[in-house]
Amino acid sequence: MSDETAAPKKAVLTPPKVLGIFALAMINVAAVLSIRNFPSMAMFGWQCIGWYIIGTVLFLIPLSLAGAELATMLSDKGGGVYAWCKEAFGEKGGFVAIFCEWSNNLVWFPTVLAFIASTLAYALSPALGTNAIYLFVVMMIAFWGTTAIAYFGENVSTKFQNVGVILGSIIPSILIIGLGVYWATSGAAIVLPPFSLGEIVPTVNLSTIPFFATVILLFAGMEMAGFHALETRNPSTDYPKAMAISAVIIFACTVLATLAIAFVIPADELSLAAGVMQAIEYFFNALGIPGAVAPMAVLITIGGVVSLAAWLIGPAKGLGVVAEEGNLPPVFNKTNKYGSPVAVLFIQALIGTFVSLLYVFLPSVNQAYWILSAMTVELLCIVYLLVFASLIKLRYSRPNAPRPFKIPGGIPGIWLIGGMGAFGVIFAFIVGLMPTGDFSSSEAFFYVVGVLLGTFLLAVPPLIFLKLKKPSWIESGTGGVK
Amino acid sequence: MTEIDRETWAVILIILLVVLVPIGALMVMTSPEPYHVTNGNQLREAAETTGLKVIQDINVTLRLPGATGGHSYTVEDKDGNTFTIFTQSFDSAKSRDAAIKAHNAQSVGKGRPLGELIVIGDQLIYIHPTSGAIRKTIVPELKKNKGQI
Repeated sequence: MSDETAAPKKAVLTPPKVLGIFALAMINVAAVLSIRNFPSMAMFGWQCIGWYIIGTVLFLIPLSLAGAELATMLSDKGGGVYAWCKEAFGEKGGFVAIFCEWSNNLVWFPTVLAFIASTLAYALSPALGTNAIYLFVVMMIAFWGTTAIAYFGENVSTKFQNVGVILGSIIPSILIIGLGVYWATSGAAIVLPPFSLGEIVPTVNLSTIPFFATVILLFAGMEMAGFHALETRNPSTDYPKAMAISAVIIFACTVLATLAIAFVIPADELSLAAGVMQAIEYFFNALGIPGAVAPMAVLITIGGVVSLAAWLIGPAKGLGVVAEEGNLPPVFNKTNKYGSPVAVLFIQALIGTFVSLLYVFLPSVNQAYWILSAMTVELLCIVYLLVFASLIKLRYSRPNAPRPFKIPGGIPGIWLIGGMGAFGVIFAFIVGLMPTGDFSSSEAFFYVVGVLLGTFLLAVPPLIFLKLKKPSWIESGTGGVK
Repeated sequence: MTEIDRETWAVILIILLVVLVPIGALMVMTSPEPYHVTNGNQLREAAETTGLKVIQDINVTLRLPGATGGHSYTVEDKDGNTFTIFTQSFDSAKSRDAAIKAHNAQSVGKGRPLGELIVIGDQLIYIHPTSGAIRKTIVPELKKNKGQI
């Protein structure tokens, strides 16, 4: 497709092939598995299983399979979702997809950074959680520190993520599951009602419909390993295995750890808990190990940082490939000796810093936050819709291309998997526009217009950039060929 | 050294403006709910006005800086459906807003936090997403009190 028309203009170092199955799987786990989801989901009791199944069927499985097929088919191309969507829909489609993935991060960064800072405060002194200076300093240390790790390339960031995800996501999950099993087998009272199949069926009504968007995107990030295609040793065999391993780890840890919390903490107490750490504190106090709260806060903080790292590095690498191909001005096409897109990382860090500054120091931003978080959801839906559409289209436009991993079932199979994923994200996009309780009827219009306008503004720049594109940008790029 | 031409400046400006303008405008334009001391019974009053029955009222103080106390209300409609709503008052706009930000930082995945947070004066009212039909009745009544001093 279009990448074949751009001739290589300058030689660049071939990235070292440092990633294997484990490292790829850990990138996905880092991006998706988050302890902070568990207490919120535990509020649903047994129903959390039903909600997780909805997210798994309509998103986790389709995205994992789509990622495996597209990543192995296009394993010689860098850029992850950019390469996949570009192959199907040309530069415009690819650029819009990666820009949406990148720009939604800029909105999301302040919230994950605030989570990191407030969780760490719990280990130090919970009162720090309301100190704006403390919050901002810790947020910036986490943000720029993670950016610095990304600067040193795949080798360093992979080691950081491998260790971090085990410490910050997998070990805390296993610990919570283990303690839940201990609670259940020790004869202590399980606060959930007796299990029956009917108990896991989610309550679906107007109040819970907006929650569909949250649940469907609960597993967002399964495509993250795809950004590291050029650094993977044996992409055709490693990707499908890594996808399968990460999907199993994420699903098992998420469901079991959520249930473990639901066994111990009554739903009312979970609702009262203003955050993950309050729920964790209740959990450990109930189990008689209050001393474990502070170490757990540190581990969850580490989990937050590796999640940040996964989302910070992947899309930036994708945008770096866009710049290398000459679709952004040469000033964006700066790659250091470690193969990191330093210009994109730096610009990202500057914008993220500014947005975080607004987030921390402006007064109550409840309504602004809801609009911004809705924009995050809408932008992600655009990304994933393009991914699922690419999966289907490429079966028609390039039916004979080698696919080391191929979704079984031929054309019906691809429509089933791609169709389920597309249905999930389209539905999530629509319900993502539903305003929440803090908006009055008159403000609801402002909310919907604000979300749509903001989403449009953050999605459309690639089309303008391609109009502004000059031949000299391509000459100074590499044509996307490493 | 790369020469920065007009198009390059245009791209840089677009990236900065497109990201910063909507985010900055939203944060600046949406004004915070005015802080004022309420009687603390907004929820009970709204429930009674809309014909809902408060069948349980437990005093609760969250372990959050500035939290001065609140209630865990169990509300019942005429069909016997029940659900729980939580309220918490704060001693200053700063502590209230910090609690809002703490809540918003607890998003699920890359989405949003669960449930809805309604800000009325010094109070935060938390409504669980499974609150069902009762929510539709009580939320509009609660909203009437927003911004009223």
